[in-house]
Amino acid sequence: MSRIKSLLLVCAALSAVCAPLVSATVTYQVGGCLGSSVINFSTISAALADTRPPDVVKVCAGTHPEQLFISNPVTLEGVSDGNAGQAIITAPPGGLAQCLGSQNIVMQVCVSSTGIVNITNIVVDGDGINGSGVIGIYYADTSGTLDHVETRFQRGGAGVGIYLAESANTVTVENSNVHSFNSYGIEASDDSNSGAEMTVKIEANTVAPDPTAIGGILSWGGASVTISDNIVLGPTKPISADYCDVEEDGCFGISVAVPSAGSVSGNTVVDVGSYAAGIQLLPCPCGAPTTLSVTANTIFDAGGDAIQLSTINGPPPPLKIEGNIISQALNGIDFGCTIDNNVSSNTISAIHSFALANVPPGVTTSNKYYDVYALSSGC
Amino acid sequence: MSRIKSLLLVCAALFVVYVPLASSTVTYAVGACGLTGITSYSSITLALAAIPAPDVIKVCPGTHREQVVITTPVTLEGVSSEGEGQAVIAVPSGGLALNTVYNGPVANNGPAAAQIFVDNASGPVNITNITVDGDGNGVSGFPALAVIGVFYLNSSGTLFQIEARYQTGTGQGIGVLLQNGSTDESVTVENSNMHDFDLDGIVLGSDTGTLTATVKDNTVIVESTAYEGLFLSGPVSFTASGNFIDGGAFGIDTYSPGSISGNTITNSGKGTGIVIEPGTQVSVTSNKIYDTQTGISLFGPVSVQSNIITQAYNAIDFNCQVDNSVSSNTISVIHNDGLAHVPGAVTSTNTYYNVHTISGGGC
Repeated sequence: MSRIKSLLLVCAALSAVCAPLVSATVTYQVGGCLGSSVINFSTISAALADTRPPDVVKVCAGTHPEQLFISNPVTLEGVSDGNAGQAIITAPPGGLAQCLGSQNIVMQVCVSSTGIVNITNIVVDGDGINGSGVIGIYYADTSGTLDHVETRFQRGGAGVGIYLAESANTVTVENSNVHSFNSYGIEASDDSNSGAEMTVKIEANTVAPDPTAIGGILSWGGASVTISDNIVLGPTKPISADYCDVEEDGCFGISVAVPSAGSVSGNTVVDVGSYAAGIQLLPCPCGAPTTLSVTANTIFDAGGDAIQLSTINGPPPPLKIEGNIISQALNGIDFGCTIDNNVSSNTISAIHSFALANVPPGVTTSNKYYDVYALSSGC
Repeated sequence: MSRIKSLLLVCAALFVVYVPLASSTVTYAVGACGLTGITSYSSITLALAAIPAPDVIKVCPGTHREQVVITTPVTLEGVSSEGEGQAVIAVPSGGLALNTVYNGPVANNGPAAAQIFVDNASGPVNITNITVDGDGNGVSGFPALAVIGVFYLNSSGTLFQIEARYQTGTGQGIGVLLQNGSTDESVTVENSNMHDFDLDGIVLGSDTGTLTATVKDNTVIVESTAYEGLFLSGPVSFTASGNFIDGGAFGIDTYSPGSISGNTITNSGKGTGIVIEPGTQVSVTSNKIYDTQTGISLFGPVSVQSNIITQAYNAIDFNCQVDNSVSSNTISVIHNDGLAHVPGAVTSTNTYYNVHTISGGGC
C-alpha cells in the first residue's frame, strides 16, 4: 500500500471517530442573528430548558428581559447582530424570583451547576431592580469562567456585581467590567465549613464602584486567590468612618481576607476616598497559614491608607509586600502594629502623613521614599 | 619594575587625576539636617547666589518659603532626615509675586508667578525629591495671574520625583510648565506627582526651537475644576509613556508630534482620554483608557493601535477624518459607538465586547 493511501485510510478512520464528537456539541441561539442553521429560541431560559440541554447558547445582541437559572454546564456567549454588539440581560417585567433559598436578595443570573458554566460577552443590567439586595451574577458551588462580561446598576439596599460563593470550585473572572453598584463589585467568599477550598482568579477587570459603595473587590478566604492586573476606580466618597465599619471590614479598593495561598499583583487602585484603604489585608477567620504576596501594585490618590494591614479580626499573618508603587495617599503602608511582615522595595511618594504608619518596634524595612511628610510612625 | 610597583604607580596617578575632579563639585545645604562638612544656607535663593556657584544644593526637610529663580546649571535635591522626608517649597509669607510672563503657543498666555523659575539656564537644571506647594498663594481675581509650580523657560534638565500641588487661584494654575523660545532644549519629567492645580498638570510648548521632551511614569490627578492632565503645543518632539492621569476634560491633548504609549487614563471628568489635534502626527499605542466620554478623539493623522478602551460613550472618534490607521484595539463596554464618525473609506480591525454599536457614521 502506498504511503498516500495509508494516510488517507488514517484520515478516514479519524474522521469516523471525530464526527460524532463534533456533532455532539449542541448549540442554540437566542434572537435569530445566526440564520436558520442554528436552532433559535425566543428567550435564553427557553434555550436552557430544552430537553436536549445545550452546550453553547449564543445570545444575539439586543435586550433580553429575563432572569436566568443555570443548573447545567453551558457556555453563554453574546454575539454581534450586524452593527449591534451588546447582548443585554435586563430585569423581566414581573420582577425577580428568589434564587437558591436567598431571603431578600435577588440574583439576575443564578448559577448552581455541577459542571462548568462559562459566560462571555454578556451585559447584565440591573437598572430598575429594587430589593434589599441585588446581585448581577451569582455562582454557587460552580466552576467556570466569566470573560468580558459587564455588570451594571446592581443597587437596591446592597448591590453586588458578581458574587462567587462557597466551597470546592474554580472560578475565573477576567477582562470584565463591573460598575455602578453600591456595595461590592466582585465578591468571592469561601466560607465552607470543610476548610479552604475555592480557587479564584480575578484578572484584568475594571471595577468602578458608586462613589459611596463599600468596596471594589472583596475576597474572603479560599485555597488559592489570584487578584491581578485589575483596575479599581474608587469608591471615591465613602460616607463616613462609621459607615465604613458597618461590615467590620471597612471600605476599600481591594480587600483580601487572606487565603491559604495566592497573590495580589499588578493591580491599579485609584482615587479611593477618605475612610477607605487602597488594598486592605485581613486575617482569615479560618486561621490558615498563608503564602499570599502583595507585589507590583500601583495605588494612586488614596484618601486613607494605600495598603492597610487590618487587625479587625486579629493580626494578619506574615505577608510579602514588595515592589508596590504608592503615590499620593494619606498613609503609605499601615502596619496596624503587626510585626511579622516582609515589607520591602516599595516606592512611596507624595504622602501627606506617614509613609509607614503604626510600625511596631523591631521592624526593619527598606523602601524608596520621595516627598513624604514623615517616614514612619510608631505604635 | 615589578608588577606590584607598576600597579601602585597607576593607582597614585589615578588618585592625582580624580581628587581635583571630585573636589570641584560644589555642594551646599539649605536648612540643618545633619549634613556635615557642607556649607549650609538659610534659603535656596541664598545658596544659589553663593560663590562659588553650586553644582548641587541639598534641601533639608521642612518648609522653605520662597520663590526660587535659577539661571545656572544646578541640581536641587530634597533629602530626608530624622524621619522627615519632605522638602517643601511653599509660598512666601507675603504671597506669590509676578516674576515672569509666559508666551508662545501654550494655553492662556500671560503674567505668571512661578514658584521655581528656571530662566534661560546655561546648562541642565535637575530637580529631585522636592515638593512645590502653592497653598495660600494669595492669587485671585483679575488680571489673571497664573500660578505655576515649576517653570522651565528655554532650559534643559530633569524633574524626578517632584510633587507639585495647589497651583490654584485664577483658573490658570499649572503644575509644571516647560516652554521653549528659539533654542533647542531637552527636558524629562519622570516619576512625579501633580495634583490640585486648577488648569493643567503638565504643559509643554515651544515657539521655533525644538523642545525634546520625555514625560514618563508620572501621576497627574486632575480635579473636577481643572482642565487637562498633559497639554502639548508647538514644535515639541515628545514621548509620553507610563503616566497615570485621572480626571479632567482631556487626559492628554496634543498639537505636537510624538508618541503616546503605555499610559493609563481614567475618568477624564467624563471628557476625552486622548485628543490628537488637527495636523498632528502621533502614534497612540498600548494605552489603557477607562471610564471616559470619548476614549480617543482623532483630528490628525494618527496611528492608533493595541489600546484598551473600556467604558466610554464612544471609544474612538474619527471625527470624519480619513488619514488614520486604527487597528488591534480592544474596545469594550461602549454605550454608543465603538468607532464614531467613521468616514466611508476607512477600514479598521479591532476586537469588540459589549459595544452598543460597533461603527457609527454620520459623516
